[in-house]
Amino acid sequence: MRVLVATALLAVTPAALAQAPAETAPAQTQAPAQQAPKSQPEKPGAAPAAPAPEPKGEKVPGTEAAAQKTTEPKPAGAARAAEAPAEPAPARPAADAAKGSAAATAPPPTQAPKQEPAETLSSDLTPSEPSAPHVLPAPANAAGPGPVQPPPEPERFRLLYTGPLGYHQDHYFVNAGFRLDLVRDPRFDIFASSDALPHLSVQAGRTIMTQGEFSAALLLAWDYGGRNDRVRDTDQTSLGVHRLGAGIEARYHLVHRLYLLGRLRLGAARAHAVLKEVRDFVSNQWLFDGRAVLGAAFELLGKPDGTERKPRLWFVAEGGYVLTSSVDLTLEPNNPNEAPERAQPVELGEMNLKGATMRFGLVISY
Amino acid sequence: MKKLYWLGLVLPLMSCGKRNEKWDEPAGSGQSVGLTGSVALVDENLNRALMLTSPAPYQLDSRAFPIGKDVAAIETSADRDTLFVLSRGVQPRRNPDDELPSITVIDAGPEPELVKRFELTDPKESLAVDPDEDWLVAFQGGATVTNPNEFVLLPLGQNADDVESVTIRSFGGVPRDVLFTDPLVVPNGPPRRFLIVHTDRDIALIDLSDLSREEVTIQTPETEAGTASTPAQVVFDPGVAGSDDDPGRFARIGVRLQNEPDVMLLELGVPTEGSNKDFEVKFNIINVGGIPSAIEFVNTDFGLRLAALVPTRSQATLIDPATTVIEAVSLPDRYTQLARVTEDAGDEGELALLYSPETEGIAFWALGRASGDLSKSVQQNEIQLRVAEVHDVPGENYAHLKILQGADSDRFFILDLKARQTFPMLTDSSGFIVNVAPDGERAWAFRPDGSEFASIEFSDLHPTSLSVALRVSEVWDIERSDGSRAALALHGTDGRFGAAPSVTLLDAEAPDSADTRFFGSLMLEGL
Repeated sequence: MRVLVATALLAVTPAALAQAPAETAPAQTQAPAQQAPKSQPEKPGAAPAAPAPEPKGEKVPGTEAAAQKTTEPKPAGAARAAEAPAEPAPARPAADAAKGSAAATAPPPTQAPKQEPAETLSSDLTPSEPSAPHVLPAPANAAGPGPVQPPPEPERFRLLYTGPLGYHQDHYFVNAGFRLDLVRDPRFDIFASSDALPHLSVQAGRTIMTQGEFSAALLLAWDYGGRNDRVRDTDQTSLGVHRLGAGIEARYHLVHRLYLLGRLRLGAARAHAVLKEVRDFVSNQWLFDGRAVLGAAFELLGKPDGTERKPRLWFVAEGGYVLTSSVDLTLEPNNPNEAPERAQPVELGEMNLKGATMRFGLVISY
Repeated sequence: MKKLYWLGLVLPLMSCGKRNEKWDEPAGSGQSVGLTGSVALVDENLNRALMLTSPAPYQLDSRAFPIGKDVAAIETSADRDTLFVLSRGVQPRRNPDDELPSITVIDAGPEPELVKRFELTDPKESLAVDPDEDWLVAFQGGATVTNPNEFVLLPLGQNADDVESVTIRSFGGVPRDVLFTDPLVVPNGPPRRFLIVHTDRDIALIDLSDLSREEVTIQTPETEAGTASTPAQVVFDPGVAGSDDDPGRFARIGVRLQNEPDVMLLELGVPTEGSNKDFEVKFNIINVGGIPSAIEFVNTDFGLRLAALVPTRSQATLIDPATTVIEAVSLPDRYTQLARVTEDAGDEGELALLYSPETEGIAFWALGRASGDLSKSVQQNEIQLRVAEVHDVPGENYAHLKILQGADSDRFFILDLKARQTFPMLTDSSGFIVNVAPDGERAWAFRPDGSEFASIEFSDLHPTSLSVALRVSEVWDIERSDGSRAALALHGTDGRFGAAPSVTLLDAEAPDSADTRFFGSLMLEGL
């Protein structure tokens, strides 16, 4: 829960996200100075002539967008670099230099010649070598002779991954969870001692469109919910509802691990009501079933690098409203012509299962 | 541990929005009352009466009427077309919204409706309904402090909003029962109706024509032990209004005393000179030769008599109310009960039926033809039944028939008063109960532990055996909205075996086990 809260705090402050790479800038600029003996005799400040490496392997969804994003000027980083003119500016990848970033135009370093720079966080164009971009430069106070071991990857880093959303966003998914509808209809009291109608809920679908942080997915869903109780200390009642539907889900990724969602789902429901007395009285009806929900999903487990198609586990929480058509609670006997009773229907009025809904689930995406 | 956090969030949500308490109230036994056009099913736990009707063949409808909290008594009118429910309300009342004691009046025809609701200030335990449906009387208080001699009279006529409380003078007695009289002829003023209250030591006459008049209280004689004797039965003769040719006679009241060989004979006679009263009660105490088990005013060839059955002597004693002269009539057996059946017997003259739950057989006592030896006016009918109850048949077509039922017998009899014949109806086991249809065309016999029952058409005395799936607790015959009749065989209304009340519906005029309809979950109706 604390992880979720911390994530939420970060998620709701885009400025902090934008500033996050800049905060690492000093460390990046110090790293070459500490490793001066091993630096290559390259002219400081010169832009690498080699072109940016092409991504290896399959084409990663969202890479183009990420590449465009990373080749744009980084004002925050540039400002930080300008504020520290005494520090040697690190050499930037070709893409950055070619675009004439502020770092590339910074004054040349006056100390050790520039070494081959460690790949920065924004070097998103090398998805086939994910480990290199994730190495943080050594902290400034870690001075000392000899080679510096890369520090263990801090947890915080995972949250600050700003690479392409990739498969965080564009994936197949299966979603299983627990849904709770609050049915306010007084007739629902026949079947339950409270207003809650719990469901087991399963959804499956895939992303059909991505655009920056936005994406959309289509899904199919099946829910089953039910309650049972006794009424007036004599009759046993039960209600079961199967719901089948298709829906569209719109998402907005705040960070790669967290996105907001809105979902519209339409379908049909099959309500099965039973009253057990001296014999069973039942009602089976098809209903219209629709719902609109808003929610959020948080990635619990999974590689931060969105360029890797790997299974990821998400937790999703959502709330909204359910609309259904009314259930005619005319309960028919199982065999109305069975002698000697020839039982007649039990008429209990109409019931509507509409109401607020909430859902918690786990999503496996791939 | 994280899973437990989710449970902590979900479980409170699961219990939110608690359902209406009515669904948790036990269905109860659902006491049923058969009425002319409906059957009342009392749902005490939800303070309502479900009125079951049949609008068309094999159709059942129900309407729920509030009857107040904590039902104390349920009564019907004599013709069973009205239901009266006395409820105590919330006791003790602590809030202004707490319900007051009340009496609910429901029209029980094929289309029931709420007629009236009287609110009382204090709870009462007993309710008496005027056979003429002019008055209701609530008595025997149930509060912390009650006045047992207070009677709340509620008019059912035009002035239905006038609730009057009458307190009778008390000589230490506690009211036991009340009796509404016909209009009684009194010396001064028109005939008027009285409410006769008998306590454990006196009787009181309340003039219903003017409740402001002081009631008349008559104390009973002392026993040999020196205590006041207790009234056990009160009967009346309305008297005959005088005319130019007939001086007429004033009304009389007879009182049988418990475990005493005496009967009290009261006359609403001429008041003493100077009195401004309309009548003055004059009474005699007559010893009838033994402890009487029943008394009744009868009209013999010799005039009005008060008949008293003395089973210890196998005799009936006739008392001339004018002279208090008694005449003993020997009876062939120790009959303990006497019922006048004159009006139902046709032109037979005054006729009484003698029977006893301890003695097999019945006897006809032809008082109208009694001349000379009264003993010869008794005709014995030796049936193999100890008669406990005699059911009248309403209506005109078969009023001459009576249903004779024993306490725990495997048979019952249909008595034809005109033909002086009895027709046995044998059953396969004992404990049958017989209900007569309000239209007087048939009777229904059922055994509460069984699922088989029968209808007996009075037109040809043909019994039709019927069978349903569940145990029958009551059978009621009601008028349908279309004018035909339906029979409701109720199940589970006696509170036995924990079954919820349900009903099997039949066509009462052509009942057939192969053509029934079952309606379950009656206590969920109207919720």
